[in-house]
Amino acid sequence: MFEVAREVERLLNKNQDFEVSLTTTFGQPVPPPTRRATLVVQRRHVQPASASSEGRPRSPLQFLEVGDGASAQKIALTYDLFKAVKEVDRGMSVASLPRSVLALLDTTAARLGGPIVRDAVVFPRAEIRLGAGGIAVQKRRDGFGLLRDGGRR
Amino acid sequence: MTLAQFREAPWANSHDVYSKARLAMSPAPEYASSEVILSSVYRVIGFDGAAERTVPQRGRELDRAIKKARERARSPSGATLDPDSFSTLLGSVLESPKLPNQSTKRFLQVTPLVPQVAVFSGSARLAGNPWTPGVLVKRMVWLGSSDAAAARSMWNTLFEALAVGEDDDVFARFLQAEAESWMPEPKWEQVLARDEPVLDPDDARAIAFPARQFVHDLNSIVSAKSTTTRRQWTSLLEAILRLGVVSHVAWLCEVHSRAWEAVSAALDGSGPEDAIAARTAMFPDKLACLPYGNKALPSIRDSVSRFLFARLSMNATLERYIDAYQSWLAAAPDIACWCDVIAVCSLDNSGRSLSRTPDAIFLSPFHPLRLGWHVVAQGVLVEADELGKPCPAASVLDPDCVPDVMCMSIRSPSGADKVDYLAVENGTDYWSVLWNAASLGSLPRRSMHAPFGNEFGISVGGISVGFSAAQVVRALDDVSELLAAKPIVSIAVSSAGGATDACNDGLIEWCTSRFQDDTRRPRSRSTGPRFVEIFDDRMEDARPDDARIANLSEDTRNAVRWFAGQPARTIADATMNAIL
Repeated sequence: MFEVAREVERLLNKNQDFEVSLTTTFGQPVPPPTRRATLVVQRRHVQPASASSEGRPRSPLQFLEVGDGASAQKIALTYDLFKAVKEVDRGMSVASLPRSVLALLDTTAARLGGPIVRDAVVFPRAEIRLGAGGIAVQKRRDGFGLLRDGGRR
Repeated sequence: MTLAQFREAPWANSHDVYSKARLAMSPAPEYASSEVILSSVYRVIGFDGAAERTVPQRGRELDRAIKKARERARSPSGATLDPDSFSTLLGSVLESPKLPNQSTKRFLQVTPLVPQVAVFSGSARLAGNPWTPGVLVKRMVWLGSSDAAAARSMWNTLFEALAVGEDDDVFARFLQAEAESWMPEPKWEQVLARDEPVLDPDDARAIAFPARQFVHDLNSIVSAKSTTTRRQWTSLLEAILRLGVVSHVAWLCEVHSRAWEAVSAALDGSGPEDAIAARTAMFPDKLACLPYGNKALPSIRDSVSRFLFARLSMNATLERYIDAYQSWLAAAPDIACWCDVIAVCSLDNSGRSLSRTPDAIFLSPFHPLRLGWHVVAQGVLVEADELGKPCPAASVLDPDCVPDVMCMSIRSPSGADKVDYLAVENGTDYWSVLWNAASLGSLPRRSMHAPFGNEFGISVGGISVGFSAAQVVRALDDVSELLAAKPIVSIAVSSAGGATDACNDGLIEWCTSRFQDDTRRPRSRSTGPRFVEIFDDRMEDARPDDARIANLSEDTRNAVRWFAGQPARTIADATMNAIL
């Protein structure tokens, strides 16, 4: 379970960052780099969800918990997801993932976005990247500031 | 406008009655994407003075401001981005697709993520005076709400949701602040919303229609805001706006078409016979204009075509009706004056036949004179309201007293007698009652008998207008507040005649609402027992009957006592003249 969780975490994040697309909506493909606006925050963790089955039969499905705090949410570890993760582990390209798995990952990332863009705790270490020209903006105590070096990461 | 003018240019203007109806197709829809609709909603709800036609101009001004700032290499105060970066943000990151016919034109068209970008982007057209989809959305909110108060509350909720607050998406806060720095005027603040028409409560309860579903969905979308990014939320909102507006317009087309069919049938003598039948004929049970899986355009074209036919036909019918009456009145006044008139006659002295001269006449609201008066009055009031000069005395206008005087031709052995009839106050908004000017003295006695009274629902007052129920309630409230410390409030009621129940209704309504056992009563009125004594100096017929007084006593635990006449050595705190 931990291995699968680590693989899903790798699929959701981009290196050490988690990117929230600010100009796209559910199901919308990510635009070309020149037209992107993304909020880049620290990596979101994925771990096996603790199955609380007290008073009810044990769920036949395992769940993974994505993110933490207000934005935490559970996703079902379906056979499709499990199989996809194993195949990515074997070297398959992420672009070859089945549509149902891509949709699940996309939905999960989109649903994480809502609480993250309002979470004042993540702002000090987050930045808004605009386009492909290295323009980055950071939330500061008295408003917003331009990051001259085009982003820290 | 006359029938001839209408024939010359049938699409230029509509009859006032038609164009100001609560289900009028207003504003006239043009092509618009969902982003244009949302931008317009921003402008209507929160930017006073940001009309649609000013948007392209402001877009050009912003372009020039960016260019100037680039030359000076300095951004306006409060801006985070340099001019090049801001230009990239608008022209690349936030740029939204242009319409096919605008693809070669150069202008700002950005995704309406935050209110301030709607100041310079998102109008339906780049030239002329484009339509305002935001007004259509506002009309839908009012039509789809249960009453005006609920509509205002929904509109306020929508404003709060559209605003960018401290707990909003960080990108929306950045974008709003940046856009405000570059384009500070006009400022985002709620525009005082004038009430729009609401659907008749009976109709609204009985039918299902898109505006009501739209308001329901809008509530759900607003409550989802905190769980999504600003872009995700505005895309959901745009989807609801697009679906709601199209369904509403298609529904209006259907209603207009069915209304015309009903009017057309009525002209042939086979129209709906009562209000319920009229409702069934006018409002569709279900709207299937956009069946899933079918092409939308043919169905929409068909709806629009039927609407245009109905619009032309309804206007032609209205103009023709007024025109025909005018011509008839000019050609044969002795006969035309009896059009749409009901005569009320008493038995003559023999007790076997009707008297030759009617005691009174009734006019229905469809009498051409009354219809004409409504058109003029509505036009004047709407115009004053739109100019921001509402008339404080507008509530005094009483449609049941129009026309004030009417001269009727009555045949007699010696020819046609001209008899004047004067409007008298009556208890319905529907009928207009005019009394024979030569026999006004008989009014109090005659108005006690059929067809006046409860059976037909018309109670007649006098020549001078008495208190309405609402005025009685307000007057008693004032007296009660002035004499707040008095345990017993005495009210004397007198009248010069007439039989209107408005005064009694007002008295009983006030007593019931203020003195019945109710835990929700305001604290100011819960300090201890209070009593009301009503000294009724009117004729016995004019007083409420014993059953009503007994019910009132029981409802108020005997806090209200009704006296026939004023007892000796008592002084009334207020005196009310029901009819002067």
